[in-house]
Parts: sequence; C-alpha cells; structure tokens
Amino acid sequence: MKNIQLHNSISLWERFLDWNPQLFREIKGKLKTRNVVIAAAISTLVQFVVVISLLGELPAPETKNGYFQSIQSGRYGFGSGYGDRWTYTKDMFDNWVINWQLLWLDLFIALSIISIFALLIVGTYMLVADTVKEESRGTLNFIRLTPQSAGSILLGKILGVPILLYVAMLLFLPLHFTAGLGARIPLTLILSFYGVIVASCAFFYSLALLWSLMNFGSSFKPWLASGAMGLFLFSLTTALFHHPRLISNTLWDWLLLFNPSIVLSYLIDATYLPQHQVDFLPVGNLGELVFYGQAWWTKASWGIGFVLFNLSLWIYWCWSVLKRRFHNPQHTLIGKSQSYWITGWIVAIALGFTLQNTSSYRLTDNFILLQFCLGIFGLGLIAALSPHRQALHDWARYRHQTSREGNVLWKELVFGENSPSTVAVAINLAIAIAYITPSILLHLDRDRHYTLLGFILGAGSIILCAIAAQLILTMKTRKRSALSIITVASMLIIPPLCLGIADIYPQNLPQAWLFSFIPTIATKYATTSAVLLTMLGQWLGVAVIGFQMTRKLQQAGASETKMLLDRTNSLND
Amino acid sequence: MTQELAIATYGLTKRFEGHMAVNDIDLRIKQGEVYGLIGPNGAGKTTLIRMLAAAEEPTKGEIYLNGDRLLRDDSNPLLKKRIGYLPDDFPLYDDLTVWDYLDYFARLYHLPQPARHRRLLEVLELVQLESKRKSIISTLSRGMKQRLSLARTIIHEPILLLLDEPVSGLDPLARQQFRQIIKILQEAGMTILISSHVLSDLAELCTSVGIMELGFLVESASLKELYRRLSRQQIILSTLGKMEVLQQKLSQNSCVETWETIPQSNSLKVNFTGGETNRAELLRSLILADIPLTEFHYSQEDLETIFLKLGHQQTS
Repeated sequence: MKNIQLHNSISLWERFLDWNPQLFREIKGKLKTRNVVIAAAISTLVQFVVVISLLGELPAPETKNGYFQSIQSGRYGFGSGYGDRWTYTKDMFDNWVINWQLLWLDLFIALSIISIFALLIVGTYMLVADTVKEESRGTLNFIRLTPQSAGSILLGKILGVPILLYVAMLLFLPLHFTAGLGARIPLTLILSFYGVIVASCAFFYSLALLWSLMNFGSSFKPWLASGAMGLFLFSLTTALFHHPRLISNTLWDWLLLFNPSIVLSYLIDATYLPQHQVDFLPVGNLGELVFYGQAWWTKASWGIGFVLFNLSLWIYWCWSVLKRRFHNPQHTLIGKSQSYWITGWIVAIALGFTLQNTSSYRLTDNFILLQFCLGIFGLGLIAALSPHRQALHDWARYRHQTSREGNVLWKELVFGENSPSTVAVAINLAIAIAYITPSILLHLDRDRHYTLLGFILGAGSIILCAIAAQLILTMKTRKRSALSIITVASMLIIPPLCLGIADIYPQNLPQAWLFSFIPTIATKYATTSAVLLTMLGQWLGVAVIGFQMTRKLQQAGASETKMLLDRTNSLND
Repeated sequence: MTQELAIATYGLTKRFEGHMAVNDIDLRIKQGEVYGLIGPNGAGKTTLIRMLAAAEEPTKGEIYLNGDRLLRDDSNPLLKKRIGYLPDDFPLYDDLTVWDYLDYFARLYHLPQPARHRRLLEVLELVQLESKRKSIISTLSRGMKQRLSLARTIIHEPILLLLDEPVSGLDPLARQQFRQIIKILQEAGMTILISSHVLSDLAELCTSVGIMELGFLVESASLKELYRRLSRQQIILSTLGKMEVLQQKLSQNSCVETWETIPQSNSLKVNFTGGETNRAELLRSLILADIPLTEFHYSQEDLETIFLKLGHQQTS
C-alpha cells in the first residue's frame, strides 16, 4: 500500500515536471538539499527573530518575592497610556491581561512586509541575474530555437528561478496564516491578500524579465533593477506607516496601487482594533482616493478588485511585449501597434487619477503633473520605438522587397517594423491629447486654453526630441544610443536650467519657457501669438531634421550599384 | 521543386552595417546529403548557418526547409523540431549533470516518456558518454563537452543537422570519433550541413560541397562533379627499363596529357584525363609492350588543392 502511494506521488511529481521543461531545469539546477536547508534555516531564523522581538513587548515575569521593579507598560497592555506604551494590568486570577489580537496582528503585518520585500527585491534580483547570465553566455539562444513558446519558457523562469525564495516564503505561511486568524482577520481577506501578493510578483517579475531582455549593459542590470525595486517599496511602505497626506489626490496615487502592502489597510480595518494602536494607513484615508470621481477604495472588495485589475492589466501588456521580445531581441522593444494600445490604457488610467479634485486651481496643477508624466512617457516611447542604424538602413534598402504593408509608406511608418519612430510617437501623443482634451475643456474654467496649449506644445517638443534621437541613431558610431540620450536630455534640461540660473521666470519671459519640457507653466503668461510662433518654430525644427533624416535614409537605401555609379560620376567630375 | 529539397533559400541576404555578410544566396541541398561548406574566415559561413537555424534574422530572402517557410518566431514549432543546430561555441549549463542536461532538452522538444528515457540512452551511447551520465558538466573535457553538445543537437531526432565548425579545437582522436558519429547519423538518413576548415574531414564525409567567399556562394556542386571538373588525375609510373621506351609508349595514348620525370628515380608523373577503362587500357598496352613496370599508382588532386587552385585562400 505504501509502495503504491509512493509510486503515485512520484508519477505526480514527474507529471508536474513534464508540464514545463524550463521549470524542470530550474528545479534540477537549484533545488538541491544543501540549498533547501539553507533557505529553510534563514526562513526559520527570521520568523524566530520577529516573534522574539514582539514577545519582548510583553510584561517581564515576576521576581521570586512577587515584587515589581516598577509599573510595567508596553504595546500590548490594556491600562492607561498613549502611543505605543500602555500599562499592563492583571485580572482577578492575577494573570496579565494582554492584547493578544494586536500582537497577532503585528506579527501578521511584520511577516507580510518582510515577505513582500523579500519576494519582490530578492526575486527581481534572481530573475534578472539569471536571465542576463543566460543571454550573455548564449544558452538562451538554444532555448529560443526549441519549439517551446516564449510564454512557457518565461513562466518556467518565473516559477523556477526564485524557487528557493518560494521555499523560504512557504515556510512563512503557517505562522503567517495563524497570525492572521489570531488577529481575527476574515479568511477571505487573508486569501485575497495572498492573491494580491501573487499578482504583484507576477507583474514585477514580468517587468524584471523585460528589463533583462533589453539590449544594454549586463553586469549592473540585476543591481539596478533590485535597487530600484527596493527604493520603490521602501518609500511607499514607509509612507503607509506615516500616513498623513499619503493620498495626494494627484496622479502619484496610482503608484500606491502597485504596492501590495496597501491592501493590508482592509485587513487591519476588519480586525476592529483602534486605529491609533495599529498606526497604519486607515481605510478612511484610502477612501479619499478617487478614480474618475468615484471613491472605489472605501470598500475592501472594490478596492482589492481594482488593485488586482490594475496589476492584471499591466501583466497582460508586459507579457504581450515579452512574447514579442523573446524571439526578436534585435527588434525595437515594443511594436508600433502595441504602443497605441499601451498609450491608450496608460492615459485612460492616468486621467482617472488626475480628475480627483473639484477645485479648478488644484485640478490645473494635476493637469500640469499629467503633462509632465506624459512627457516622461513620451521619452520612454522614443526609446522603446526607435530602431537603430542597422535596422533603419535595412528598412530603407529593402523595404520595397520585404514590406508586409504592401509597400505603402504611411502604413509602414504607422504600423511597420524597423521604420522610423517619429510618426508613431506623434500618433501616440495625439491619442493621449485627444483623450485628455474633453476633460480639460469640461473641468477647467479660466485655465483651460493655456493648459491645452501646454499639452500641444509639450507634445511638439517630444516629437522634436523623437526625430532628433532617431537621426542620431542613424549615425555611424558605436555610442549612438548614449549620444541620443545625451542630446534629448540636453534639449530638455539645459534650457530650463539656463533660464533658472539667469533668474528668468515664466512670469518675466514666458516665451523662453515655452520651449521647456513643461510649457504649461508658461502658456498662462504668454500671448497667443507667442505660443503660435513657438509651435511654428517646433514644426520648422521637425521639418528641418526630418528633411535631413530623409536624405540620410535615401542614401542608405540606395543600391550598391547606384552608390558605385555616384562615386564614379563624382570622380569623373 | 522545393518539396524534394531539405534546404532551399531564395535571395538570402544578411547585411551588417554596409558589409554584406551573406549576399543573395540561393542554396539548394537535397534530402539525405552531407553538404560541406568551406571558405576563408569571414566568408559568411557562420552567418548563413545561423540564419538556416533561425538563430539570426535575414535582412532579406526566404528559407524553406522541406518545403516549409522558416520564420523566426514561435509560429512554427513543428519546423523547429526538424532542425538540430550545433554552433562553433557550445555554451552549456555547468550546474546540471549530463543526464539532466539532455533530459531538459528532450523535454523542450516535447519527447514523451518512455521514449525520452530510451532516446537519452541511445544518444549517450552514440556519443560515448554513458559512463559520464551522472557527472556534472563542468567536470567534462572539451572533447566530451563537444560530444555532449552534439548529443543535445540530435536528441529530438532532427532531419536536418547544421554543424558549424564541429571539430575545431579537438585532438585527432576526438576528431575521428566525431567523424564516426557523423557517418552514423548520415546512414540514419539525416541531411547534414557542415562547415569546417579541415578539408580532409569534409572530403571524407561530404557528398556535396559549397564554397563561400565574401558572402557569395561561388561554387555549389556534388563532390564527384567537383572532382570531375576540377581535379586532375595523376598516374605515377616506375620502370626498371629505359625511360625513353616508356615515354614513347605514353605519347601514343590519347588520354595522356603531359608528364614529368620525378628526379632521382626511374619514375614519371603522368597527367591523365580518361576514366577507369582508359586507365586499364593504358596499363594493358604498357605490359603488352614488355615494359618492366614496378609501379602503376593512380591518384587524384584533393579538395584542398582544388580549393587553392580556384584562387581561394583557405585558413586552417
């Protein structure tokens, strides 16, 4: 009987390993007894330290003669006090009266925060380091040549690479779960919290894979990714514990939804413990968060639902970009069609968090912030959509023979692979502005015109940057990526820096500030003719650089025979 | 037409900056052939093989394997199962054992149990690594790693094998072992494309040869055809009698082009144009003329000589 059970469990394990070959490889490489023991030991030690540090808050045992050194106080007392110190009292049987529920809750929160930090920071590091190593050694290329889909390989990586971390976290689970129940958190909420942690891991791990498949650097990539992740989590989690004014009712609030710790607010609220004892972001504050005028976060079900929706949406787009990227590491990071969808979703959600105020004055500020973020996003689009010299030259030379868009230039510029990015960037910005404009006109009073003009001027400067970056990417130098970043950065940073040093403020000389990254701050003070002249200047710049680029691409697109003939003719002349 | 061909490329081109690594190549390889690709370093052999393996995207042109278009995405898993590719460098996973490594790739190629287990044993036997199945890969020698890579390449029983410089850096014994394995695979019916600088190996293994230079495929023909067209036949003749008699008799044979005397010996090197029958006829005529022959040795110019005669420079 025992043999049959053993055989069944072995075949079940075999079937599990058969399900995903990449997971099999990671398990075989990493799940070795020594490693598992170390992971388990670290996990147990951390739990032990957390429990001991919490138990340290309990009253000290009585001395032999029953004499107390002084009145005992601590976090888990029921007597008088304030903040973190409450005096411990005794019941009629001479036992200490202890707020066990709060102790369990503290344990639950501590383990939750440690798990989230460990999973997201260490997990991100492991995934990026592993993928970068495989890419630089060339082993990933063999996997690409197999009939496995990108999805299967990448899922295997996500499930398998941090497997020791998962083992350590699974050992957290019994104590964590018990602590949750001890704190009288409803089971459904605990399970929802686990769901949010899984979703956030899926999102950040997909992002980590995307980061590791980008074609630059290698040694610093894992550190940069986990460092950024750590900074993000640390700042947002610290803010949750020091909550005054955490909800700013601006676009920044969107970032909160990517931190799974925010869901802890609902779990704490369900314990009915007094807010001042717990000192974590209360649900009441979370209720101030508004999306398109609706306060979704007052109820746990809607709040957690939206957090999950937000994460799922970006997991979907990360995977769609990853699948494309995995098989074509030389292509641009995202396809042009993909970029329109991603822009649409980002702008739709960003506008929802922008429209959080009814006061026109604050709403204008929110729109300026939106314009700033749109500018940053535009720069990201330039980097993600612009093909490099080789791809551009190949496109210019062979597009007549290889085009899938039937050799129609506008179709190639809008949807095609490897064509210059400027038109696609302009379309993305047009989508964003078209979606934002009705809200500006409906919700703003006096400021609506200059805000709108600010958006249009901002888009103009991004397009100018896009075409300049694309021109530099056609240069014959190995440092062209760095050069294009330096050029774009100097186009954006140097003008406002110089104006700032020269003590020229938008109020004094708005014309100069119209060329800056956030022209909305100057449109208020500028005349309509100045704004129109700036637009004209931007488009003139786009036309001149565009002309230069067309000339370069025509040169690159000429056949070898034509080049030879041109050279011979020039020699004869 | 393409149905009968294992590989057919149309206008296959790869450009790096202004440099044409592979230039408008129309390659045709029939099923079951062993096709040797030769050419100097930088001729475009590796780039061509990488494109055929879908490891590199062509700038232009199309590739058909057994009549099916090869594309570089996950839209053609069946086609990928037909290809086995061994690059000149062979990165491995140092943390896995030989068995686990092959098991991993067998799973990647969807080999189910128990066929997977059986295939693993077969392949390990073929590459003579049965005794190393439990060894960690980092402990293997270079030759063993090369054979393990070959085992990985054929684990899924591909029908097309692409080998890029498979014997580079191997000692003579390891090279001989490798040649034996290739012969067994050829007998099993695989179409094999192999690039190498060791032309004697190719001459032993290949049925056809392609010569690449500056990205162009300047020659592509069966080995027989190449020898027939470009290789001169030579006969070494030695006699105990007078050389003048022998030379007089030779001048009467229409298949004898020229000859030269080999210094300090009573021997001649004859350039001969005829076939086997003509050779037999010449031998008979010399014996009937009572010439006391001590040697009648036939030889042909080898692949390396042909290659150099074509004006190419082979780096080995």
